[in-house]
Amino acid sequence: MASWLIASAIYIGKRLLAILLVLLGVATITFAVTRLLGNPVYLLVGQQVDKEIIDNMVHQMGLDRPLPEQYLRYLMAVARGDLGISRVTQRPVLVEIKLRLPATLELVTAAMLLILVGGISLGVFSAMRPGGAVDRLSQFITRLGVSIPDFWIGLILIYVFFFLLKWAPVPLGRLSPGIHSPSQVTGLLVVDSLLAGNWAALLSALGHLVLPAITLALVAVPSTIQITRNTLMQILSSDYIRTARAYGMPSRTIYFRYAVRNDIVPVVTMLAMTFGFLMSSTVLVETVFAWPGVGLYAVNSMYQLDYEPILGVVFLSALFYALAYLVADLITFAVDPRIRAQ
Amino acid sequence: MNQSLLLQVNDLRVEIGRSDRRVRAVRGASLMVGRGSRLGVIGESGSGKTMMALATLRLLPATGMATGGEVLYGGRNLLQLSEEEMQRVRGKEISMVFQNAVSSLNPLFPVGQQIADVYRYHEGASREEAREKAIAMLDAMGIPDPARRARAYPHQYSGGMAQRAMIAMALVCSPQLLIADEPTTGLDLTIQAQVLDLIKEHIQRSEASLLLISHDIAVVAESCTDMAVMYAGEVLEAGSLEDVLGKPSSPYTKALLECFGVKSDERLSSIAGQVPDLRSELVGCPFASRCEPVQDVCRQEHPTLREIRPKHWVACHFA
Amino acid sequence: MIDGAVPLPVEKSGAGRVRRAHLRQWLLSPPVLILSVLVLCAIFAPLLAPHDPTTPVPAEKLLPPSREHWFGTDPYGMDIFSRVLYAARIDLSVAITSVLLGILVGMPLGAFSGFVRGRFDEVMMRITEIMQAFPPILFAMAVIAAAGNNLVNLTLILAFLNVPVYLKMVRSVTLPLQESDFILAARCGGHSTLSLVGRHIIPNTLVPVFSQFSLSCAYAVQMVAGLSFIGLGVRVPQPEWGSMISLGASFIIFGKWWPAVFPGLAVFLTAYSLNALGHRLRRIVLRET
Repeated sequence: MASWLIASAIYIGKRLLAILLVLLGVATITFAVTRLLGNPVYLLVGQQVDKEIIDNMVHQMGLDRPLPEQYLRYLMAVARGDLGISRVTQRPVLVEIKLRLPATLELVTAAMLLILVGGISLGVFSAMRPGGAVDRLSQFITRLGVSIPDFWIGLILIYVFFFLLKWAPVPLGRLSPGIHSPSQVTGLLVVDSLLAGNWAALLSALGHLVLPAITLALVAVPSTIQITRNTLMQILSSDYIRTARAYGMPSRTIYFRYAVRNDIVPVVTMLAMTFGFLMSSTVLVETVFAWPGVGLYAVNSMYQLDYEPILGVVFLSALFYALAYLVADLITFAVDPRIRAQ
Repeated sequence: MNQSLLLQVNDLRVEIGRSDRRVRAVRGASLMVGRGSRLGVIGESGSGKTMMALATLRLLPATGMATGGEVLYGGRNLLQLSEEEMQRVRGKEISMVFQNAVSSLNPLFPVGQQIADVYRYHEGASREEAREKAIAMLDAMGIPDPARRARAYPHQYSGGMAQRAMIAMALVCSPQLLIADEPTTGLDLTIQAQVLDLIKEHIQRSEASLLLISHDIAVVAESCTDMAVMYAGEVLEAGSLEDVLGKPSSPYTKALLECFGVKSDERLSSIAGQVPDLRSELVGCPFASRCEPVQDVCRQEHPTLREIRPKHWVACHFA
Repeated sequence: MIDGAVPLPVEKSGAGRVRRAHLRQWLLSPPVLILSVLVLCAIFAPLLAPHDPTTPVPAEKLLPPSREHWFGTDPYGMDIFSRVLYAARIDLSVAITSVLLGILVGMPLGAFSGFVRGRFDEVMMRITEIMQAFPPILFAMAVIAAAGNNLVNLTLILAFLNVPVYLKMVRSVTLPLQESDFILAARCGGHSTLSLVGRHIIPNTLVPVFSQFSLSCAYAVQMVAGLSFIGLGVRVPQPEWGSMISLGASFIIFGKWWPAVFPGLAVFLTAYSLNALGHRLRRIVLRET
């Protein structure tokens, strides 16, 4: 028992180290990009300002120190969670991001639910009957889905469901004007309004969530269907499933007891990675639907030439990606005895 | 059907492959497995022996199907049973062991549990009973420390041990017929002998029958009572081991035996030529292109299996 | 032909005819046709466009599609059809250039990495891992904000994002080759690593790279449109699909669908045919290997 714990600890330790290295790399490249590609001060105050003011700011921001020192300071700041100060609001970037993170989380979670239900079930049914009607539908959706720009389809959805059919609410933000938002517990409006018993807010929040979630889900549904279908097909044609069939195991046992367990690792890994990926892919969808998440925050910061927030969001996205990798690895470790053996 | 016959395959035809690349893997193969006998099917790779075995249990891959003939067992044609009926046959009446045992076991489940699952499904046993039965079977197969081994995973087994575990799974419900497809290929020679002995011993003890498929005559000679020779999807000769090895009547069998140096005065030889293209329709004898004493009639007329002496069949115009 | 075997009927002249028929079928397939049309539109935009794509005509704001304006007019009164044609030049050239640059850098690095292995390879793998952890759109935003908002920077960023893809692909093709016999023979012949990589490895990677090229371009076109949708890379009057969609976005809720839909349709058709072409090429590559 103890050896199992030690083995797990070592494995987790190794993965954490790998993630730290990746994050270090991301921070380094971000640092390099900002310091080496242009003078951030110009970006902050524009070019028409007195030299004296510029020099002042340079000194204040520590930009006149030697580069290695700047790099170390930058790393230490990031490690502390200090992602800089927003030039526009003068508040720490971390605070601004924390304010907007729940909106993005809610959007991504809703999209993940759609992906789970739609994408995985389509993939599973396609694998069970290759070449059948469901399979052909899946291929069609996949072929279309990888070529449709998400922001464009979002606009089309708005046109159809808001303008033509009048089913969707005005595509601006998370709640209709005039609805009181529930008191903040998690920041996730659906959860908060449920907790507060605020049905009007719940309905409004859900209504506003539908179109953006569908649009975002579309980004990942094609690959979800593909991966689910392919991994399941590989499993169903494997030697060990053939053995199970050869011993008369009924289909329900083969599917629900064996194949599912064999498919958990690749599917859950894929879902974790999709979550990480979506967390960094909300920019365009949030822009189209004026969804007040971190993606829109980055875009607005860019328009306002507020530079630190963009870097902060970049770093946050890389962090989510890395965490997603870690979760996927841990699940693999937990389920597959062959990995544990190493 | 003859009561002393357990399994009878008549003129079986199997096609496999996608629509543009369809291969006729088995083209009219016939053989018989008697009660309590052990039939070895020998043939080169591509001769259709594995496909024939898979077709018997209706385990062909998705792209394959049996397009003709019948497989008679227990008075029924297995090719016509429903999937549910076949599920009751597989593992219980007829079991099959495959070549690569480690990959034939599910990597995410303990070996003992996989054996127990088979027992539970077919015999309706409880979880406890099945678990103990699995351990008992592993023990009977000569696996040391069976209780611990039952909890282990397939990747922790060596090739030979995994094959023993597979055989345990195959025999757990005491089937009438065991089909073994190249069970010893890829194993060390000493392990090969052990596995073959194991199979032979348990088959004999339970008075079951064996259908052993191999490309190695030595393996068949060692473990079987009867022998069938397959080539290009057909059975060209079949009979008792003594008859086929001692009085081979098909030119192919003779050539094959020469290759294995059974005729002790010959040096190792090989058969010139190539196996015919299995995608196309064959006219005449499949071995005609490589047969030394070939005549015109061989290329034009297809020879059928006929009994040249009691219980010895050959498909050749000149046997 | 083997004695006794009667093969299924095949054309008399055999392989050549079959291959030519395949090629013809391939050239006339929808993706290739659509792509050719798009490329021709891009090249001959000045000849094909019925109206001036960059001169605003306030009197003709937001007119729906008609015989005069096939795709209608945008909020500045400019003909959308003409703008879509001209925009093809920018979108297609930026996408293709960025992928080519990515290949130019990624391919040699990948071949070297797979060939030489060892420390260099390890470092390359870590670097690609880091590069691929960067969210593409956010990264582009960060870099453009630092380096300046123009098409050149946009192209360079997209090229940067393509490098790890080709690096990994070429490396994975190189790994099995590195251990092959003919490389061993060449090494015994005293060839330098550089010439080995250049002369023997690279040519073997061209085919898979080529099939991936089309797929990368499909992705790149969507990225260009997406980035310009949020204002990166393009100045306002310049016709470009993404910025046109952005312009039309605010009018969707008023029912004026054409300024946003038609440019998006162009992006979709381009991406779709590039993807379809890439998949066909990939299938051919797989069949040959």
